[in-house]
Amino acid sequence: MFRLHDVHYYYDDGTHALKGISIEINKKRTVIVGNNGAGKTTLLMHLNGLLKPKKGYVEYRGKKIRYDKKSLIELRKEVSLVFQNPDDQIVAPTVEQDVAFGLVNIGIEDFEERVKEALEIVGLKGYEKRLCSSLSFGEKKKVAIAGVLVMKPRVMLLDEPTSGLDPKSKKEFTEILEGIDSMLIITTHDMDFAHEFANEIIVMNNGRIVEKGLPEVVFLRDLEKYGLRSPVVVEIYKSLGLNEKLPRKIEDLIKIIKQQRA
Amino acid sequence: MFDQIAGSTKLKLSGKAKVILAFTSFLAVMLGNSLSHIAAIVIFSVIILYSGVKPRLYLKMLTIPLLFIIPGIIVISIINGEERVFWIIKKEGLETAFNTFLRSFSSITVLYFLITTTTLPEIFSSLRKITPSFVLEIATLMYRAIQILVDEIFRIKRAQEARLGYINFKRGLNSFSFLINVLLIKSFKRAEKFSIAMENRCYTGKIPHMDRNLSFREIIIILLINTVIILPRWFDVQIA
Ligand SMILES: Nc1ncnc2c1ncn2[C@@H]1O[C@H](COP(=O)(O)OP(=O)(O)OP(=O)(O)O)[C@@H](O)[C@H]1O
Ligand SMILES: [Mg+2]
Repeated sequence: MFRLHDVHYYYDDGTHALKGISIEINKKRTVIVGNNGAGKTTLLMHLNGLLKPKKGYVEYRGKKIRYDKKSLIELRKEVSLVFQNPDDQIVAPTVEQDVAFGLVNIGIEDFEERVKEALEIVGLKGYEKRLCSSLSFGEKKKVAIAGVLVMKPRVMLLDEPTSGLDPKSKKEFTEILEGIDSMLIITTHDMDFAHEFANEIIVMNNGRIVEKGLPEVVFLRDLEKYGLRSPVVVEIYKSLGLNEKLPRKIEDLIKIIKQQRA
Repeated sequence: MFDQIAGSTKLKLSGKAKVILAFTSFLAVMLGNSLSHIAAIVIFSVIILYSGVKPRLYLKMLTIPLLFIIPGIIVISIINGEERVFWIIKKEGLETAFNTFLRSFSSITVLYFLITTTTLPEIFSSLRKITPSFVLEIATLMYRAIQILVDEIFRIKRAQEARLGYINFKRGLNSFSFLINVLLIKSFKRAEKFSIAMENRCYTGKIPHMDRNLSFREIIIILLINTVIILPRWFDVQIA
């Protein structure tokens, strides 16, 4: 889907946030991990043209991204970003107005059914008339996702969708994300989520890609040198020295352990 | 903020219906006689309380305009007419004062009905047909910006209070100027993020407004309430 060629980016204050990234991203569930300031958000913002590489270029579906206004709108219809902080994302005062925002702007006036549908998927049925300022943080995050979901994009980019959520909402969000048909590119600090959810893990450190591959493979490597801890499942698996294939979920790990004891 | 109350209203009417109801009732009250005014006060007070406004709060809200109205009607009852009823108070003046009181009080209840049940975005949306779109667009975006700003103010203020920022006047003044400072910086950052967010969401200059047509039920409700208010005038039924 995406191919980056030696992409460099530095912010106006001189921070060199991406230091030559060349990578192909095409797995349906791609999760990017990396410590604070590694460049994850900066990378995501390159994928739908919110930032333009200072050097190098980005390809989407085999074509170089073009940065004129019209091409960008076409691109963003297909590739939508959900920001980490929902208040950065929500642009309209009521839930309904915000979810319909993108649709109206690409010329779809007949949005009521689609808005309702999107809100139902994220579990906010009946919230149409609510003011966005009267929602909890988790609810705002759901509105932000619904506003992108409603566009039926080919690719959704999600910046830390599970940060700031309680364990129950985290589980709920994981389920919502699992139900989405679009390709998802997600950044997170939640290693357990990454391990359970991803088809592919990308590890970033200091503006560079340092690891890329299947979670079963990447998470068995030493990630501590990048300031990351392993997922709980991997820690237990390693310390028990099991021979089976590394399981994804904690439930599967428990099954293996039980079998061994029997 | 009243919009918080309006946002959680239990009243099941569309924004447009509420705006039209308030507007027509306002006219009806202006045209009506004293009985119309009493009818309007009763009807709208009932609706306001039914829609979930706490009675205590509503009473408090009603006392605010009283502070302005009462001195006014006292003056009216003194200066108007010839025939004295009591001390310097005159009969004619008393009647006029009573009518003035009812008239102003009933228009206030109509106004309160609108602000306690209808959010500003709803009002904007219902004005879509009669207002230039760019005005509504700016108003709606500004409203969202204010939502975020108010949020921010509360957050900073709470953080300051938690660290005893308002413990005495001097400290309070200090914290307040700091708050304004931070707010200014934050709103610049905000504006930048806002424009990125709009870009991300394919902004081409349109804000969705839910402009549904009135349902049959809503038309009946509006007609009914207006009829009740205007009826005493029609048949010239009076109390005073
Ligand atoms: N608007 C900005 N102006 C200047 N520097 C910035 C800006 N945004 C990010 N940076 C810098 O760019 C680098 C990469 O930031 P980025 O936000 O991409 O990291 P991240 O991996 O998303 O981190 P986090 O996990 O904390 O969200 C950091 O050093 C950061 O300080
Ligand atoms: Mg980030």
